[in-house]
Amino acid sequence: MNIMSPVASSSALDSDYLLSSPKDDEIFPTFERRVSARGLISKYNDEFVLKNTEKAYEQQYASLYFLRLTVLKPRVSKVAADAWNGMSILSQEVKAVDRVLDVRQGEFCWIVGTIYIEMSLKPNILDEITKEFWTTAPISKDKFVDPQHDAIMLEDESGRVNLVGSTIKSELLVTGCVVAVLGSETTSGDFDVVDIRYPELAPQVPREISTGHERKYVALVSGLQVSGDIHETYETSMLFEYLMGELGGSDDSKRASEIIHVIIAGNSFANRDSPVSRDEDSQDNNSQKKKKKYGYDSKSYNSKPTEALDSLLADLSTSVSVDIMPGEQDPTNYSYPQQPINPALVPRTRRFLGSSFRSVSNPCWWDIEGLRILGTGGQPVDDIFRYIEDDDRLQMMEYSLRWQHCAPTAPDTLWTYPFRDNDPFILNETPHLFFAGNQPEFKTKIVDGDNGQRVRLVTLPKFSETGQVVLVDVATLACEVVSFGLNGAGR
Amino acid sequence: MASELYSTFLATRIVHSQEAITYRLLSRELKIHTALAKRYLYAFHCSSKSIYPDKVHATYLISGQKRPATTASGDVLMSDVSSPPSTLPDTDVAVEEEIVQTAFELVPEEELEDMKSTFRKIAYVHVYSLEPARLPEDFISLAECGRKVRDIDLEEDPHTISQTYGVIAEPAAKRQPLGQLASAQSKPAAILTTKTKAPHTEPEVKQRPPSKPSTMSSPLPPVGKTDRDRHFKPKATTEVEVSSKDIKKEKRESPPIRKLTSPALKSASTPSTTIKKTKSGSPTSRSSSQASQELQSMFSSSEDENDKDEREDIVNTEAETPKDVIGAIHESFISDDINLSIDKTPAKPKDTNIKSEDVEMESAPMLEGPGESITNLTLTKRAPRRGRRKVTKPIHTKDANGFLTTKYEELWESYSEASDEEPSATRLAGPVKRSSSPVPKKEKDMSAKKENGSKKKTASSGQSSLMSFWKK
Repeated sequence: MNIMSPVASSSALDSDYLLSSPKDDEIFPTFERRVSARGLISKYNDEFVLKNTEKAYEQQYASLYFLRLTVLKPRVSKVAADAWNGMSILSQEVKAVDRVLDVRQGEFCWIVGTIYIEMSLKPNILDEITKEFWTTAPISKDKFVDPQHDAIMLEDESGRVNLVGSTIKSELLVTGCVVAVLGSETTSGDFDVVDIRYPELAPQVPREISTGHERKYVALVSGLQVSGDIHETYETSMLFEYLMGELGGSDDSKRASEIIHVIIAGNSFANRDSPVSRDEDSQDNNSQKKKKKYGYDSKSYNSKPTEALDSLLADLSTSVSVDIMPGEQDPTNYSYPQQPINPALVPRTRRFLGSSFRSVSNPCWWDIEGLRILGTGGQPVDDIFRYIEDDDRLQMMEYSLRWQHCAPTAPDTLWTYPFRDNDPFILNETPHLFFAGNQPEFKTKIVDGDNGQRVRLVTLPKFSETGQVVLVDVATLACEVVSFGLNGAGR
Repeated sequence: MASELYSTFLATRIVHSQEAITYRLLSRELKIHTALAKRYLYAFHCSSKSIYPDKVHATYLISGQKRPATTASGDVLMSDVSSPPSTLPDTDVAVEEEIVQTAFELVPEEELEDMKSTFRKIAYVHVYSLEPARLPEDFISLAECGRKVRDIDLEEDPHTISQTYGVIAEPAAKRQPLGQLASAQSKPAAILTTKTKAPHTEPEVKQRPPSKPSTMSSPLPPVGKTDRDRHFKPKATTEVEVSSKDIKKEKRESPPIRKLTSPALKSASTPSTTIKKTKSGSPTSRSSSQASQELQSMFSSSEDENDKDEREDIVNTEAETPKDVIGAIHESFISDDINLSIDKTPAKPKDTNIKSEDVEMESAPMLEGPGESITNLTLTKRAPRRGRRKVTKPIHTKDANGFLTTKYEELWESYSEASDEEPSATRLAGPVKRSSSPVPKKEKDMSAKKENGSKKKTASSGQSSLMSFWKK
């Protein structure tokens, strides 16, 4: 509900209404946000948040792959059967083969398994050890892909087979996705692929689109990179002022009041060191070797980022409900899924815990007024980026949905916890909104599925670089961007 | 009039003190709506041109839509996903989605017109801040103003902020008071909080916690656990705020959780000892006849008095167990009828509701008195739970690097060798703690330990018993 003043309606106020002398008895509008449902979907989130007492690291990652295959195999088999059953190639009917190793030469069949891509440029622990003894050429860690030398294999419980063929080369594949491939075995023992199928989009919970004329938005922002330095970029303050309804004129405030929830998706803190690597030449290692004391090294610990962010969030929490999700550089565990940032880091904001502030895991599922949202801090997409040659992030996100897995490269190149009972990254349903934070730029598109699913994909740019925050309309899935700038500082 | 006030205010701030001021800071300092503050800044800026030429510089904020307006993001409609997915269906029609982009730009007044021309459609322009001279590129001084604003906002209730300054109100926002949060974090304490939030706030309760340095604290809590908490439920309310920390610490164990610092509580053994001692040796001894009156006056008197009152009551009743005493006090509050019902069950935090811990807390101060007064309690039942002493103990913990480190920590310990403090509590569950068994076990063994408390005490330092080798 809006508390509108009896003075001139906001739309009638011209752009300069604030550039005039104050009148004594004028009342200015103050808006209020609607009470809305902003919950987390606990059945998924509970799998991401691991209890410290229950974490066990004795198991191997193989069980994670096995679980993934067990769950996704029936799904992709169904898609493949629908497509290929009854089909005949070269007057030979294709049939399903249960095990990869059971494929016979010359026979057209289809098999289901997990893709594994052998890449020489992938970080390899053996390489790092080798580096200690011999000097090796520096390799760029941006991408692992090396089209000439990479080998794509299909693996299941029985074994692996090499996939060849032009069809497979042009597909977007990463290690860990479960697919069905149709083809036959060649003389050299490789599997020549003719066609490929994915599990496709999972079923989606239908959403009632409210037809009220009042709009509701979810604000998504990532990469705040609050450092607390004196020379901190001022846009962050402007963003928070806008969200609180103080910046701009009354229409701006009105729009801001339609934002019912703010999600801060990752990398809110600046200055996180990269995890220790065995690379002796790395700067981190050199500085770390000097530190021999227990407890924290006061020279390297800087409390300014947390204090600054705490101050900002505490102010913001008085006005809107906020969720903070950790990102790659945030003070929480590095492996995926990242645990929620401990609220003790933000003591002032912590006082709003339970009312308008919440710390969530990465990834996280939300249910905001019926809109089901899956959000990540961007690490899975960044990791998929390293596997393919181009840079279409939206495509990568779309494929994640089609593979029904939001982090397929875990545990291969994306560090993760060795889950034992289930693979929590498997998507059992398709969200209505899927966003990834800390991406190079803002991009969005709508993806439609076979069974009427409709998803809005959004890549969030880093706020510290672009000054942009994305607003998504809860009812219509429309996107808007609000940007903040200082003196036209070019971006 | 208001207009003169603000112009004086702004003149002082900008011209004389040479400080920048944003509309937000102005609104907080004058307690006005931010829109009004923007107007004030504008008006002052205009008037200052004649009065203080070149001494006041304005920074403007422009909001609107910039050119170019559309952001083409290639909205590809995937109508047929089942088509051979080897190539993305880019053959479908790509619809360019028009994304509405709103921009907010902060510009110094010199560049206002230039910046305006980059906007396709201007929504609003207003003065953002006034400063003595043009701000540097990164607008540092505005950050300082922002900090001040947030510090001011921190003290106020969210709804007040909304009404006074025109900030958008969030109905769900609720800032918990300090100290409340500690209890909110720990489960039992949380329950305690909610329960104790119940209707009453008795001043007596409020006053009790502060008077912690009492050696008589230990005997009472166990006693009070079952009887007292029932009665003291309403009174425990305000206790929570102050004693939430204590509650948290107490939650784990039964009686010995005397985190109420009681320097003299070295030799506390049983409640009755306390009782007796207070009676005899307490510097603040009172006549027994005053007991009931004091009890009643507890509601309004100072905390010290309350403590003494409680003590007195205990003393007077000559209860067999602290529980009796507590029970007596209860009763006296309720019915002025002192009932010496002996409750022999060892009170454990987990048995009773959380309030009991709160009650323990309250009762702790009640039995305050010099430490030595506890030494000769005849009742041995409470003996293990009672002693609280400060002990320097080596704590073995696993460092972040995986190394075993030993730190010497001063802990409050009771005879059952349970530590009151949180950090030591967690260490107790650590891998190398030798002096007591892990936390879960501890609760179970509490009763056993009570009896064995003295035995353990006499065991070699750091080793509770021979069984600890196997228990650990």
